[in-house]
Amino acid sequence: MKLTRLHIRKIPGIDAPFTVSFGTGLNLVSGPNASGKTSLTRAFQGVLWPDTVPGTGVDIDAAWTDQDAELRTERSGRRVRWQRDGCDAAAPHLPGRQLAPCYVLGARDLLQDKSATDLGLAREIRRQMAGGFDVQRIAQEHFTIARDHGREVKSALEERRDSLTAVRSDFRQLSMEEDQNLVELLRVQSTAQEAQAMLPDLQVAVELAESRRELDSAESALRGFPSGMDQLQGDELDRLAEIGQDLARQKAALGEWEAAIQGAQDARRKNALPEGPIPGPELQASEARARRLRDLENEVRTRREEVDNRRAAADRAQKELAGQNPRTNLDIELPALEKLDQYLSRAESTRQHKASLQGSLDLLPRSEHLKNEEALDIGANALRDWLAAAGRMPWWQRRLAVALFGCAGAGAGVAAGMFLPLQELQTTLAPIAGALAFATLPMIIGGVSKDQRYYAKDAFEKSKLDAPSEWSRNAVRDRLSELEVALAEIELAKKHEERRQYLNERLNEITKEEVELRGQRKALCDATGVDLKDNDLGLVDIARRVKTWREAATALAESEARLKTGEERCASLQNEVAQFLERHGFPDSHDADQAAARLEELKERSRALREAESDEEDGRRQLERTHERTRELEKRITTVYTTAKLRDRDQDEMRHRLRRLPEYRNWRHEVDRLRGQARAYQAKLSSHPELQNLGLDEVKRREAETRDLAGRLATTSGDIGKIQERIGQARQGHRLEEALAAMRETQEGLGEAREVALLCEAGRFLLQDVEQEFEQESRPSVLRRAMKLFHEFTRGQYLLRFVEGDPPEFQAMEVGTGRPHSLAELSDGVRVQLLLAVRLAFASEAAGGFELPLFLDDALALADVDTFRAVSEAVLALVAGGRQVFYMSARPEGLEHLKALCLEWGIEAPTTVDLTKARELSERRSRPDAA
Amino acid sequence: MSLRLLFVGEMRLGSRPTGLPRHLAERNIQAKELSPTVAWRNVQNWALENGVDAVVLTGDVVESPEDRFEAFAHLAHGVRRLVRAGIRVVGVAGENDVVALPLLADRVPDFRLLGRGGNWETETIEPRPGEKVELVGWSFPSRQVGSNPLESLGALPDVDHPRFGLLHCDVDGKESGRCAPVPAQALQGAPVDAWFLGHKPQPEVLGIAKPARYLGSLTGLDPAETGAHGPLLVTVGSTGEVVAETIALSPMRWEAETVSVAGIDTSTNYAAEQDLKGRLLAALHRVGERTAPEMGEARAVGCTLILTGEIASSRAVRSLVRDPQLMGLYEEWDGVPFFIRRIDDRSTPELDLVDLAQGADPPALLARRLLALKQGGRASDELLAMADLNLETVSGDPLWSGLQASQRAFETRELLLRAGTLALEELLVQRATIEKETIR
Repeated sequence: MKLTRLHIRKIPGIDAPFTVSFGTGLNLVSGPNASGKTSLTRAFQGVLWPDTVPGTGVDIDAAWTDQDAELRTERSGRRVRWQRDGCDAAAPHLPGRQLAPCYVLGARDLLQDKSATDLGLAREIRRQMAGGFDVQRIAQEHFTIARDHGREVKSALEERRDSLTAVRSDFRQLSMEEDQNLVELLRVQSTAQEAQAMLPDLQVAVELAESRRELDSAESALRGFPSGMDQLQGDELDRLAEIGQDLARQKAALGEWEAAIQGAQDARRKNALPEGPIPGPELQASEARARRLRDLENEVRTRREEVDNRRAAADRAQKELAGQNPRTNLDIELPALEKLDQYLSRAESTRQHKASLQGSLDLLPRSEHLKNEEALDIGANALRDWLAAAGRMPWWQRRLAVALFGCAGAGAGVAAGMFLPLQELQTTLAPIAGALAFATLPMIIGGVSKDQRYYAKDAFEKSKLDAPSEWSRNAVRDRLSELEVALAEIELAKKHEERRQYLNERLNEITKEEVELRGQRKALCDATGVDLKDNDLGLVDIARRVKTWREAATALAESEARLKTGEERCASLQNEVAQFLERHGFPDSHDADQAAARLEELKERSRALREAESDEEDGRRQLERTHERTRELEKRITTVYTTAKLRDRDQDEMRHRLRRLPEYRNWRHEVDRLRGQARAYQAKLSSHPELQNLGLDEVKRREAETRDLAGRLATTSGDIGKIQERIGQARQGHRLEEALAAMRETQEGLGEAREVALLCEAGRFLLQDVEQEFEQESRPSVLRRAMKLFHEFTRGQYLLRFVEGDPPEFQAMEVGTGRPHSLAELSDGVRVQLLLAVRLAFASEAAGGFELPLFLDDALALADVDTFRAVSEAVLALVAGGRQVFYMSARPEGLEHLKALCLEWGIEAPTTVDLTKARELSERRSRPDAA
Repeated sequence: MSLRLLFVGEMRLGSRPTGLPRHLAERNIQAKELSPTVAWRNVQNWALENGVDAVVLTGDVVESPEDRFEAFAHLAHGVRRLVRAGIRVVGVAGENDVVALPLLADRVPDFRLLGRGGNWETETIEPRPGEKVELVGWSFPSRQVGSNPLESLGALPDVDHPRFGLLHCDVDGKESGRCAPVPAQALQGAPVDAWFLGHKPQPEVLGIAKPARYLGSLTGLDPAETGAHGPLLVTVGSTGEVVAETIALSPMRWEAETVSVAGIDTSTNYAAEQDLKGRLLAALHRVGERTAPEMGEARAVGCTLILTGEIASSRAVRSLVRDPQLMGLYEEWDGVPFFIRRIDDRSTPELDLVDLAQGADPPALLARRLLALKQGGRASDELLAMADLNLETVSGDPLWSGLQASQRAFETRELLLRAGTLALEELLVQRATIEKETIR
């Protein structure tokens, strides 16, 4: 497809429309900068690929030839319209938008060694080589891992491994310290502890040794004193003086005791008794008997007076009884007298009750109307019936009752239907409806009993009572009141009659009781000898006198019996007391007073005799004791001297030693103190016997050594504590476990990263394997076309090579040497030829053989001579092959050079377009005067 | 009365589960509360409450050989607690215990370390007259033992009571022979009635005629250690019959559950996201239902959810799985949270590889390779050999030198299938675009 004409009405950068016509071969477009060359290129792109020139301010017409057909393209705004031979047609099968750069080349495109476009082309070629499949893209998108894939995890793993190693190292160090240092430290600590424990004992051992040295000195001084000094107490002279005084007192007491014994013997003889002193209890018992005897004698006297008094009272009662009623039976029993009291009480009660009943009976009235009761009753009922019949309700009350009755029935029915189940209807509404009906029916019925008055009147007349003054409601009501009063009086008379009958029955009962009481009275009169004719008060008096006499006789008999008993006991006791006094030398005691006086005298003599015997015995005992005391004092004086190891009574030597005694005692005390001290030290050292007998120098040396050892305890314990604290912390913590877990977690992550890497590698391997096989099977035509073009461009000096890789690469192999060259190694000219060949081949292939013009926009402006020539030759080769080429430049010499080359190659002369002139021409034609 | 022994394997004190989601911490469940230390305390409590006669440790009691303080303190405290209550504690040392258990034996005289210094020893447990069992054990003398310890086990006198062997070893192992490699047949011929082994984290009954089992870890630290974990209670009856039962005392439990994404609604991203969330929650619920009867002391359950099934657009699922919000999903069962520890996407696009392989374009060529990998054969072997060369350049990168040998790496075939399926899906998208352009 070749561009024959281009009419640009509007495009960004073009103010005035203009038209340009082109040849079908090489077109050389000249014009200074800003003359519209680039706009021409953009118009070309904007027609074929509208997206490359976006916007609404575009209005272009383009004319094309495609083989024999004429094509036209109109772009207005965003709309593009195609016509073939004057008719609207679909757009031809143009290459994709991304291939636009293949048809429009600038200087930069051709001279860069690796442009993005070329790289894309290389990839596209490779894709085509894979049959249109972009295997590498799949590999890249799905099976490519980042260059640093796994590095981060690996780095984290290294860190965690280092942490783990550090923990392990700490633990190893700690283990070593526990196994070695701690053992040694514990041994040292144990030794130090032992030393520290030993230190007090060693100090004691030192003090023991020092005490022993002082003891030796003190004992030496003590040995210079005479023997027996240790027995002296210092108070020997005082004690001897005291003993002497005591001895003198004892000798004086001996005489006093002998005189006392003699006095006691005299008193004993003076108070002698036949049986010696009488024992106290025996004497006290006799005194008690004497006191009892006196009490008995008083009691007998009292009894005698009592008998006399009671005898006189009995005589008086008998005389009084016999004088009142000589028939009285004095043998009457007491129960009979008690029945008499009961009889009197009951008779009085019966009498009073009877009088009361009789009074009540007398008060009851008599009734005389009983005969008319039945007639009155009939008449009153008849009048009530008449009045009831006469009290019929008025018409409005009857209608109201009927309405209520109807409402009650209707309400019950509605409620039953709407709200209540059948069961509740029966139980709830039926009573309500019934009650309403009950309330209203009498009113209705009353209204319909009109004729009953007649029947009531007839019934009244049958009672033969006086009729009402007239048969009106008031008269009938008055007559009914009269009849009801009469009926009430009859009813009251009936009740009085019933009461009268009851009182008569009670009087009959009391009468019977009176008969019974009269029987009882007769029996009592017989028993007491009282005449039946006497009244009840006489009977009572007799009974009282009999009772008094009988009580006086009984009391007399009792007093006489007690008097006799008292007299017997008194005689017995007097006999006992007399016998006791006679036995101890006091005869002739006849009564209680005499006995008491004799007993008092006997008691006094017995006491004096006992005291005399006691005094004598005591004096003898004291005398013997004083003798013993005297002997003891003598012995003690001797002991004082012998104890001090002195001759008996050597008082001078005693005084001499006593003067030295304080000094001796000081030494003795010192020795004792030192010995005690030494014993105490030895006791303290009982667990260390080896220390008890060491010399002072030796023990001091050992003490210094031990003190030195003990001094290490604090330091050692501190060191041990630190290690044990670390061990404790390690045991309580989870450092190792956590470090291990962290490392494993990271290892897991690294494992997953390896999985991904392996999976990607496997994918890439498979895709590469497939791609290679396919490439071998089908080399893509684009590569063949590019090879052909490059071969033509370089006139057979180079072959094109396509190197797989990522990214893929084009190379040029020198035919002569077979040496491949990368784009960077090639000269600019050959590189441009290579890239041009690849682009054009690719563009042709992509368009399915549909060739579009090639635009070179000052592509060789910066090229050197060789490059210019190489590219020019390539362009001419294309033109020679039939392709339409546009070369646009602002430099006339380049265009001239191309014209010369056309002549050299034998190619048709190029079409020259002066863009400035073309635009001026279009402008003139568009003016109105141009017509 | 019967004799009861509590066997504890792979305690690994001093470690803790990792990769726990943040929401667990927000629910006041910290990693240290799910650690072997808590499991060990559960074992002590259970032993004391149920009055077992002995607690037997089969090695790897601690995680780090140098851990003489943190883990050792918990170990020593627990052992003292048990022996004070009259429970015998016996153990053999694994490769991690060469310091800890001898030290424990020195410091706690009532703890019996069997086979100290790599010399076989026996210990009789006879808590009551007539109830007797004999333990024969060997301990690692150093961190690495390349020889078979059973070679030094001589003849043992015949006994009329059960005799159990305790050994920390690698049966038919592949760990470069550093962890006391023992052929299974050697266990078969040893003069013991049963073997209780330590070393492997997952409980396993060996397929030999003599009873022999790996006790597995006391509490799972790795999501692969699925199922109930805890000590093994071995009851020896009066007539010598032996009954073994796992007591679920692990505070942390791991489970795996497949989640079919076939037929997932990919009409919109939102619909796909909601559908996938629903399926994941349902899977967590299923795990809860399944494990609830045997939860024991578990305080949290971590689940690996494996997406399976063929779907039209696995690209949508892939992008959803990358959504961190999904990892925040959890279910609660009897107060125990069931959380997602990992989502393993093994779903595949609905591709007819045989049909796709008909042709000469890149999708066809790739489909042919995937078919070959699935079917095996010479073409597959050649492809795998070439891939291995390529993958070695990645796996041999010093970048990964910090990984543990035990950390899982994909097999080449699996890698190629996953990567190839993904690539094929993308190529098919491109093919559709090309076809569309051609039609235009």
